Amino acid sequence: MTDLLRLEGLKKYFPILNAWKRRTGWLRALDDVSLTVERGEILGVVGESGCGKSTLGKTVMGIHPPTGGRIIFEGNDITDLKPHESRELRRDLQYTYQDPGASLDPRWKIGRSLDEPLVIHTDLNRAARKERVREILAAVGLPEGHLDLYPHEISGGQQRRVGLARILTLQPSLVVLDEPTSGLDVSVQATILNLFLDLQKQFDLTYVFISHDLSVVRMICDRVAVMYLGKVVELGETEAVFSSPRHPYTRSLLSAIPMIGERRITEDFWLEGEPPDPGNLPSGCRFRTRCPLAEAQCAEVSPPLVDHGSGHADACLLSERAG
Amino acid sequence: MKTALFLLRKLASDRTAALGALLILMLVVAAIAAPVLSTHPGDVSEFHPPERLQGPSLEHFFGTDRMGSDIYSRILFGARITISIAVIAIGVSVLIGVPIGLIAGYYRNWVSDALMRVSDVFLAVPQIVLAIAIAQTLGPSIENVILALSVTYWPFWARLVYSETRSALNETYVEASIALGASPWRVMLLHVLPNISSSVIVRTTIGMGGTILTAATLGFLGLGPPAPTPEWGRMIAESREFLPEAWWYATAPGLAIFLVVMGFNLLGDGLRDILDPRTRRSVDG
Repeated sequence: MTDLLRLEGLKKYFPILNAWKRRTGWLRALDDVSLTVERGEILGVVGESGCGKSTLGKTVMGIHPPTGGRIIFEGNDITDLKPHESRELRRDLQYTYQDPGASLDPRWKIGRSLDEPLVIHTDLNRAARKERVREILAAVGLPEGHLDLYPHEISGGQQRRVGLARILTLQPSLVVLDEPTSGLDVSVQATILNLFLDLQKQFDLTYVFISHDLSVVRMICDRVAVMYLGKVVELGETEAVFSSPRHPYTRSLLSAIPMIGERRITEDFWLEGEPPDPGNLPSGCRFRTRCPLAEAQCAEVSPPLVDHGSGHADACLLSERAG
Repeated sequence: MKTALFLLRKLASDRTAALGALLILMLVVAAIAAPVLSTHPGDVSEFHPPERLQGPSLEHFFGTDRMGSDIYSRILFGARITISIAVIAIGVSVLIGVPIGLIAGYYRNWVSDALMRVSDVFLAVPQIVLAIAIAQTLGPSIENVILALSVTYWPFWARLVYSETRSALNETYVEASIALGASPWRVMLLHVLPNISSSVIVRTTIGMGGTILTAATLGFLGLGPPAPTPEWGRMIAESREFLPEAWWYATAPGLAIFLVVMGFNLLGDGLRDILDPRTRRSVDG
């Protein structure tokens, strides 16, 4: 297996400004994130809202410049590319937005939006581009008539298909899917997920699948990274993480998945209230304020992500001792 | 073509906007057909002192002025001056202000700060005062009025486009285009500009009214084109010494200015509602 994307100690801090635009602190949206994405896999990224999932995707994409660390894509360091260099890179590295409706220009017909990536990145003539747009539209299962519609004239599920078609026209190798199923009803979710899997085979894609929907992640992801307040706290094969979660945060998250015929919230569920303010993190382990197992040492040491063999890693001092 | 038809239909259904459009249409017709519509086309430059200061009659619809010229005919020819001053001055302001606003809004560096500070300097002084100062320095002529208006009006468009661009850059579809690899020019001209165009069009329409008013003010103060040019502001200035007896003398050009300015304002307000893209297809299905 080869690494398509490797993140080394990636950091993204947003300055917190007071009323006079003076910086009073840093919001650590990504704090020392290291992980790899292998060619052809689907890596799930899960966590509560505000844990840095989307920031991770956008920083990898170059939408946000990273504060520190390195991003290595297909063996090349892409951390500090100049604007025109990173524009070239967009062919291979694509991002779908959480709200695909908002990511389409409201004044452009669908056909023109789908044509735009080809105009930017290829020298194809008008007829060839039209042909390509038709192919891709068929691939995502939309009728050709939709080319002449405006984004607000089609449904949410169709907008998502258009969003996907738009980035697939360039045949990227890595696609970051940001909450691709949010806001869709269950039957549409299923067809969209199947579409992702079909397209993955058809176009040889690698996905980074950002979601807070754990059952969806379990269904389609090969590996999963659990994030909490800007840090990856657990990383491993999906089945391993779901069947034997190590980090108390993961255990707690998983116990929150509703099951038919079982209690909604089990004795393993501890997540109450909101996570601490990311601009003012607790010392040591950032989960300790909500962790029932927290001990004195948790306030002192920030646990690193440690692999305990078989590619299943977690960042908890206590699991280290237990495991 | 389709868009134009659609706009017309929308305008027809909005009564106040239609009234505004009608008033502007009248102005345009008056300007173009002035030689045909006027009863005394020669009176733009000819004087008939024996007929001076006659009240409205079938011969002279709006009476005659202090030189005995037909006020109705002079107002029709004045429409040409009004239109050319407003269109050229606004055109130049838009051509200067919109690109400056776009560039300053798109980039976040010292260039954009510098551009905005320059426009702030212009905005800090009331526009009419600055225009008077410039026209005064350059001397009274149509060209100088246009120049004075253009130089003082562009910062309004720069400001508007700047803030609209800033908010458009926060829209997901603009970020998505940048993420797709679109160049800054592509983003500015094809995504940002079309999406902020409606507010620019509305501001331009209402700005027309303001410009006509300012041009008339300059004319009134004697800074406009020299006599005997039938400039509306100048006509009101001339009439002052004959008030209130020759009431028609000031009323006719005053009414013309009032109706035209109101026309642009009503049309601008109407366009504001019509140009919202979300309501676009809802009528013609």
